[in-house]
Amino acid sequence: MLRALVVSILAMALVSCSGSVQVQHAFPAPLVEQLPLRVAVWYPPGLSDFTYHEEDAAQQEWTVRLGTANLRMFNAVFAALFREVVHAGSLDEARALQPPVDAILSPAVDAFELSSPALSGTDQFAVWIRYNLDVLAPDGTLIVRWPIAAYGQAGTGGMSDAESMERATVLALRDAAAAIAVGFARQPKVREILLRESTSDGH
Amino acid sequence: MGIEPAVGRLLLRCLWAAISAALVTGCMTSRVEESKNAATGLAPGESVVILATSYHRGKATEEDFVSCVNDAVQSGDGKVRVTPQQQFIDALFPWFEPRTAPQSADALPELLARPGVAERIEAQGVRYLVWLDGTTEKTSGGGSLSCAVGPGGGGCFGLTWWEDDASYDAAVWDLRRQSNAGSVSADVHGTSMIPALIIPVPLIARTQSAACRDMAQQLRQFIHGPEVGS
Repeated sequence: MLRALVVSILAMALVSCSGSVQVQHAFPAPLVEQLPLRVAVWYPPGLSDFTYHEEDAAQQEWTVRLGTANLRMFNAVFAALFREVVHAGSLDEARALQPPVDAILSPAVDAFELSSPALSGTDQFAVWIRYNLDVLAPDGTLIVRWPIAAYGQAGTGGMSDAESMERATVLALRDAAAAIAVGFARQPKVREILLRESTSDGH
Repeated sequence: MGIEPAVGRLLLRCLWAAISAALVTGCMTSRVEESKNAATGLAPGESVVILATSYHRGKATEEDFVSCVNDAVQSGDGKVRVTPQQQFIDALFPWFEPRTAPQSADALPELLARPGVAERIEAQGVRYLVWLDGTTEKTSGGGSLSCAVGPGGGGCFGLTWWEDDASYDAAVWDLRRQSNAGSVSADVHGTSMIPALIIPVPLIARTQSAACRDMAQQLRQFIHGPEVGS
C-alpha cells in the first residue's frame, strides 16, 4: 500500500516536470484587403515538422510541436491576403509553374524561445517565434527576406502549465499572422516590385 | 420538552458552519469611481464586448478577472448582453490582437473605415468596447507561522498576514459614436491573515473577487445610463 503511494507520488512529480504542447488551434481568416497577386507557397520541411525541445533552468522539460500549426496559420493568412495561392511541393516546382506566378513565398522558423513562471519569476508563460518570410521572384531570385518577430504570453489562471504554454504559443502564432496580414503590403520591396507602387515617400 | 440528540448535533454543525463562513473572510475596503463623457444606453439586440488591454502596454490583466467581469456583467439586476470576447476577436482578426488593437478611442474612425470592419462589428451587434486594465498585487506582509508533526500529533502556531491591492480600470468606448464614453475604476484593499493555535484559521480577503463584483455592478449601471446631464 505504502509502496503504491510512493510510486504514485513519484509518477505525479515526473509528470509535473514535463510539458508537451501540441497546438490544435484553428486560425481565423484575416479581415484584410486582398492583394491582386497570384503567389506560389512552398513550405520547407523545417517549417512543417518544427518541434522545439528544451529543459529549462527550473528542470522543467518542454516539447512544443509547432509544425502543423505553422501550416494552418500561414494557409489562413495567405488565402485571405492573395488573389490566388498555389501550393508547391518544392522550390523547383514553384519556379516551373505555368503560367508563372507573381511571387514565390517561403516561410521558415528562424528562432523559438519560451519562458515559464519558474524562469521569469512572474505568473506568465511567454513564447517568442522569429520567422523569416522569403519573398522570391518567379525565377527564384530573392526579392526580400522579411524577419517577423512574434510574441505571445498567457497567465496561469485556471489552466495547467501545458495549457498556459499552448495559449502563449497560439498567441505568438496569431501575432505572426497579424504581422503578415497587416504588414506584407507595407514592405518597401513588396510595394515597389510586386505591387508596382512608388515608395519614394519612404513608407 | 428536550431537543433530540440528532437535532442538537445538526444545530451545532450549522452553528459551526456559520461561524466558519463568517471567519474565512479577511477585512476589505473598496472604492468604485465612474467618469462619464457621453450619454449611454443599450438598444435591444446591442451588446458589449469586454477585453483585456494589450500586454504590450504593461503588466497583463489576469485572464480570470476578465472572465469574472464577463460573467458578472451578464448576470444579476440590469444584466447586459455580452458578446464572447474570443468570438469578437476572431471575427475582427487581426485588428484586436495585442499588436494591432487600437490604443485609444481616437483610433476608432480609422479602424472602422477599414474594409469589412464596421460590417463585422454591426453583425456582432456590439455597441460598446470595454477595455479592462489593472492587476491584483500583494503590497506587504509579515508575521510568522510554523507547523510541526510528531508521533503524538501535529499543530501550528503563530500568525502570518499580508495585504492585497486589487486595482482595475475599465475604459468604455462607444463604437456607434466612435468615441470614449467614459471609464469605471474599482480599487479594493484587503488584509488577509492566518492565525494558528494548533489549527490554522485562514481569514482571506478576496480582493480580486470583490473588485470583479464592484466593477461589474458599476459597468452595468454605466452602460444602461443614466444619461449625462440628466
